[in-house]
Parts: sequence; C-alpha cells; structure tokens
Amino acid sequence: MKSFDELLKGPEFVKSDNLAGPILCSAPLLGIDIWQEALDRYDPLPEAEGQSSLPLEQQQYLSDLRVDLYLNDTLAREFELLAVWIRENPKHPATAQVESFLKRREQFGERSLIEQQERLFLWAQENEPDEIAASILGWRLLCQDTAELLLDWALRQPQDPRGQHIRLWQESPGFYPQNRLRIWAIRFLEDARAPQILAWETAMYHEIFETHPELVIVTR
Amino acid sequence: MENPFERPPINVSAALTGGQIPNWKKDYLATVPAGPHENQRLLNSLRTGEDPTIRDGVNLALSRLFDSEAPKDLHGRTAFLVHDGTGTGKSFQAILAAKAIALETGEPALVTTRADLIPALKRDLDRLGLDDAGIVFVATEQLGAFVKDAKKERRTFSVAIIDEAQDCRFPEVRNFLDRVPARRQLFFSAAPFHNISEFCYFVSKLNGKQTHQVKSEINSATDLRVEIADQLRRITAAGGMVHREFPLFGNVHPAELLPVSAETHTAETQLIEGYGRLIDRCDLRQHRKLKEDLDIELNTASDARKVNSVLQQTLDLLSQNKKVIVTGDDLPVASRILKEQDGLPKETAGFLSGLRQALSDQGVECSFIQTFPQNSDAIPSLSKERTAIAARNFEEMARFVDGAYRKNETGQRFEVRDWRNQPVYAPSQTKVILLPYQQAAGWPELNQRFAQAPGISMILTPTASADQFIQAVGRGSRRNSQGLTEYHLVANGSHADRHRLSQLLKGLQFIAATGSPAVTPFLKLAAECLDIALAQRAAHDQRLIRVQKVQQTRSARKFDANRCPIPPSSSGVRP
Repeated sequence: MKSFDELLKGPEFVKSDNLAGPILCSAPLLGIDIWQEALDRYDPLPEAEGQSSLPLEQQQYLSDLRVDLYLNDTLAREFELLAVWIRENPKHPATAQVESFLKRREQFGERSLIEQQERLFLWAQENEPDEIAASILGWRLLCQDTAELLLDWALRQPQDPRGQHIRLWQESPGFYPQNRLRIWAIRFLEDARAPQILAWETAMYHEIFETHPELVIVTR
Repeated sequence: MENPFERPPINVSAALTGGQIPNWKKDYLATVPAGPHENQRLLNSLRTGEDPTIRDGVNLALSRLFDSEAPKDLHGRTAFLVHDGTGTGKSFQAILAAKAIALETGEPALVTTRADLIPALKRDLDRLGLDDAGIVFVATEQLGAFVKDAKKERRTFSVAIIDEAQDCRFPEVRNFLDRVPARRQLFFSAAPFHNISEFCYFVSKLNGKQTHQVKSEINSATDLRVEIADQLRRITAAGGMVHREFPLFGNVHPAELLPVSAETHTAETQLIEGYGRLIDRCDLRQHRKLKEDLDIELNTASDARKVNSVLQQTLDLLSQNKKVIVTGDDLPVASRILKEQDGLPKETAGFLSGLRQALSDQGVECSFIQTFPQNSDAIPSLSKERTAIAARNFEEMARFVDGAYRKNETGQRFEVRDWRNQPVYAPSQTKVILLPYQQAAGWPELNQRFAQAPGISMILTPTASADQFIQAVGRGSRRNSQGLTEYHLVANGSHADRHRLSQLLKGLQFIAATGSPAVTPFLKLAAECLDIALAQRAAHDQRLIRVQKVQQTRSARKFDANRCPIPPSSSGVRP
C-alpha cells in the first residue's frame, strides 16, 4: 500500500532526453531554417484591438492559444515544404529520412484540435467526478508537469534544436500545454519523452470517442 | 499595542545589509516644482518631513536608473525595484519618480498599472498639486496595443514605470514591458515574488544576469532561503532595490490544536488507502487528477471537523463585541471512497458553507463571499458567470463594512464624508464575513477603520498557499486601521493539516527570506502548530504500535504451535 507522501508525489513519466535516431534538420535541404525564422518573426503584440480591453489573465490565455496555433502552423509549413522538396529530390541521400518524417503528418491532425481543448476542458470541469472528466483534467495536469520539465531542460540546453523549438514557451506558459507538447512530440519523435505524449493523447481521444463522441468536433 | 502605522515603516533593506545601503547623491525630488499654494504642503512635507520613505525611494531609484555603471538587462536597460509594503506610499513614489525622470531627461515617462488603478494614481498627482505634463498613463491591459502604436510613431520614453509589478508574473506583461521603447525600468510592488520563477525574473532585471543563470544559482544552493537572502542583500547593497514595510498591527494568538478523534484518523486512513487502490488501477492521467482529488477530500474532511469549534469561537467573539472574518476553503466533496449507509458517495459541504449553515442555525446572519469557478479569470467564456458572482460578493462585502455609503445614479458606491472630509461612521449590517482563501486578495475595507467600531478578529484555517494566507492576513492589518486585529489559526492534527501546515511553513519561509517583518509572527505560529501536530502524530503512532504489540502477544499466546502440531500430510511440504 502506498503511503500518503508517495501518493502525493504524482506519477512517474519518461524524463530521459535520449534519442532513438537522428533528428531531421530541414534547413540545409530547404535552404531556409523554418523554425528559426518563425520564432524570430513571431509578433507577441496582440493583433486585435478589442483584446486590449480584456483583463490580463484573459489576454494571457488568448496569447497562449495564439502561440499554440503559431507553432502548429510552422510545423504544417515545414511538412508542406518538405513534401515539395521530396518530389523535386527523389534521389537525394536524405530522402528516406524525409519520407519517414512526412509520415508523421498522419498524427498531426487539424488546426481546430487546438480550439477544441476549451470545449473539452469546460465540459470536464462541469462533469467531475465523471471518469472521463477526471482523465481530461488529469491529462492537462500531466502535460503541465511535462511541459514545465521540458522547458527547464531546454533552458539548460540552449544549443539543442529540441530546446530551441520551444523558445516561445518562455513567453507563454500554455493554458492547454497538451497542444504545444503534441506539436513538439511529432517534430521530435526520436526523443524518448515524445512517444508518451502522443500515447496520452491517443488514449484520451479514444476514451472520449467511446463514451462522449459529441464532445469531439475534430479528430486526429 | 502602539499603532505601527504612526511611525515610518521598517527599513528592511537597511536591516538586511547591516546598514550598508548606498546613499543617494542627488536630490531629484527637489527638482519637481511645487504646485498651487494649497497643495504645496503635502509635497514639501514629503521632501523635508520626518518620514524620509518617499524621498529616499525616489532618489535611490533615480540614482540607480541614471548610473551608467549599473548592470543592464538583455535589452541594455537599467532597472530598480521598490519593494515597499502596503501603505508605505508607493503610488506617490511612482508619480514623483516619473515627474523627476521626465524633468531630468526632457523625455516623457510612461506609467502603467491595471486600468482600475489609474484614476487613483491621477488623484494622487492632484493631491500633490502636480499636473500630468511629462507623464503618459497607460493601462497595463492596453500596453500591447499602445507599444505597437508607439513603435509606429517612433515615440520614446525616459522610463517605463510599472505599479503593481507583481503583474509581471504574466509573461504577456513582461513581453509588453520589454517592448516599451525606454532605456530604464522602474518596478513598484508590495509582493513582487510569490515563487522562485518570479524571483528569478526580478533578480535578472536587477543584476543583469540571464534568468536561467539566476535559476541555476538558486537551484544549486544548499540552503534556498540563505541563497535568496544573499541575492537580495547583494542587489540592495549595489543600489538595485529598496524594501520598506510596516510590521503587523495585530495580535497573533498562540498555537493550539484541536483534538483529532480516532474516528477521524480511521476515515483519513480509509481515504488514503482507497485512493491508493484507485491509483494502482489507473493510468498516468487519472493518477495526476486523483492526486489532486485526494488532497481536496482530505482537506474538506479535516475542515468539516472544525466547524463546531469555529462556530463556538465566533459566537464567543461576537459576545465580546468583536467583528469576525473567517477565512478558509469552500470545496464541497462527494467522496470517491467513503459511502453513506444507502451506498451513495458520502457528501461533505465545503467548510465555509458548513459554517454558514451552522451560524444560520444559531440565528447569526453573515456575509458570504462565494468562490469563483475555477479558471474563470482566464477563460473568456466564463467571464459572465464570474461577473455575476463578483457583483453578489460586492454586495455581501458592503454589508460587513462599517461606514456610511450612498449610490449615485449609475449604481456606483460612494463613502459619505463629514464637513472635515472624514468618513462618517455607521455600524455594519453583518458582524461576520466568510472569506474563501481563493478570494482573499482585494477587499481594502474589511479592517477596523473607525475608532468607535468593534475590533476585528480573524479566524484562519490552514492553507498550503502562503501567498493566499498572507493576503488574508492583510485584510486585518492595514494603513488606515484604527485598532489591532486578533489572529487565530484553527488547525488539528489530521494528515491534511500536517501537510498544509508544512507547505504553508515552506512558503512563509520563502517570503521571510525576502525580508518581510509582518510574516515573522505567522512563521512562528505555523512552525509551532506543525511541531504540535507532528508530536501528536508521533504519540498516536507510538500508542498504535503498543496496541499492535499487545495484540500480537495475545494472538501468539492463543496460537501456541507446540500445543497443536501440524500433521505431516497437511504441512504444505510435498513428498
């Protein structure tokens, strides 16, 4: 039987930064470092004038979602450009690695997955202690812990591309960190921490689809 | 007890550095021109009066901001932090510093704070007989849009001043602030650091190191509190910040723990074991949530045991003509483990709701501050519900507050003042207010603001959040208090309270390491409470071990193997 302190320690998940294979670096192939460019060009100032009348807490929430969407769009663009590149360079030595990378598009899902999080979260808050509601809320908490650890790790590894990719996380904690974690995990699937992130999401959507399909507008 | 607010605040910085604070060399405040004759008196007294707090704060800040040798942040800006407690005159310092810097540089100063606080800043400007020439006021909420326009128009500012700088906990605010085209940043806050991350942000601004560098120094320290105090000492001695604060105007009652029955211990053990079984069966996501739920169930169960004692204490205080503020949690629970006789989950009301019912049964009407839905501050779609609750809460608060009020045609509430411009006293409608920790911040009028009003007593239950605890304490001890507040902490020796007290103690130790004198009595109180709770637990465990030993001895006597030998065929050993 676990003691009170053991129970409160929380679940153990994979924290190792080991790599199962080489990470694809698309910059030399495309002649442009998409991520570096995107992160440098990100404009944190709100686009909508109307947002400036909102309380700071709400502005932060919307800013978090904006960052999630921006990271999502950047990965989508990388996929798109690599798809064009592979058509034009079928015999390049990096073709196999790019092909394998492009297969991850199947897991990528639609952009509106990000907007869907609020609906799931509010439903879960309303329907506690329903088992699925607990899973949805627990999923977010687990992702918060993971994202925090990943950000801490990234600050200690400023040269690692896996860390550079999450530079924007410093400016936005992410209200639904599962969004940005999914994008990071798909991009760096070779990282030992990535598969669990996708597995949590797969299991979550499977359960929701089985029990409350009405909650899911889009699927992966 | 003498009213500590009648003297200048304690200079925490001087105490921290052993008096080694750098002196300011130029009196920048003297350059701010006095306004019309009738308002000159206030500004002159700030320049030459007995209390040097405001003059020193402004001059120390400007000395640092104009020092070309001072450390600079990543953007090449100098920075200064005025970490002054409530009631020390931060707003006056903010606008006087803005005026002085604008005069010194010929460039306007930008002053930002939350939108609802800007009118008060402008009123202070008026009280000092100053106009707003050279100052641009921008609500922090609108800072992003403002900066965008300012950049387009190529406007520059001599300084960006942020009042209520604890809002820098939002990365969004840090972002906007860093984009203000200004070569200096001046921060004002009574509580700038709530955690290590916020601490690292300010330290990095003030000593010019990168945030992750500061974080790694702190994380590698053998004693966190010593490291924090050291970092602050170095920054203060180098002229990067100043900290003044009033001591607590109150009387903290000695630690005393309510007894815990064997039944409570059994229920707690049942809960912990039950959750242990659930956790063994579930995946990581559910585990993470169950961990939170266990915490809430244990806390609510522990607090439910306090309702009768707190009720009795409240009735006693009322009979002594006191007003009572009870602060605690209000988290109702339908247990995942414990069942009613009919098999349904055992339901327990939140502590404050339970107490409200108990008071009502005794014919005592109270003001009840309702908890907001979780995350409703952040999620825009919940803001309507939040606004409705906030309006009800405001009405409830108004019933507890002494003083005469009237409403204008738009429904705004105004304090009635007499011919000397002093607030008119009228007794409150309720004498008890129930305040959830989640909503402990704000509410500036709950303290005893009239000499003829009843004294205030606060009853607090344990919470894991030192920040919320200190916010709650601050409802009683304020700059305009006319009498001291009595503080009572009501805890018991339950698992839940031991856990909360130990978390609270850690948080208070962090705040104390940053040098807040008002925290000291509560630090002692939490430590004593925890010691008693741990001693009670140890005694309980010892008793349990003794009982188990006695039972084992008895069982061993009853079962004497020699008297009933096991036949070979049933001995479990196969041939």
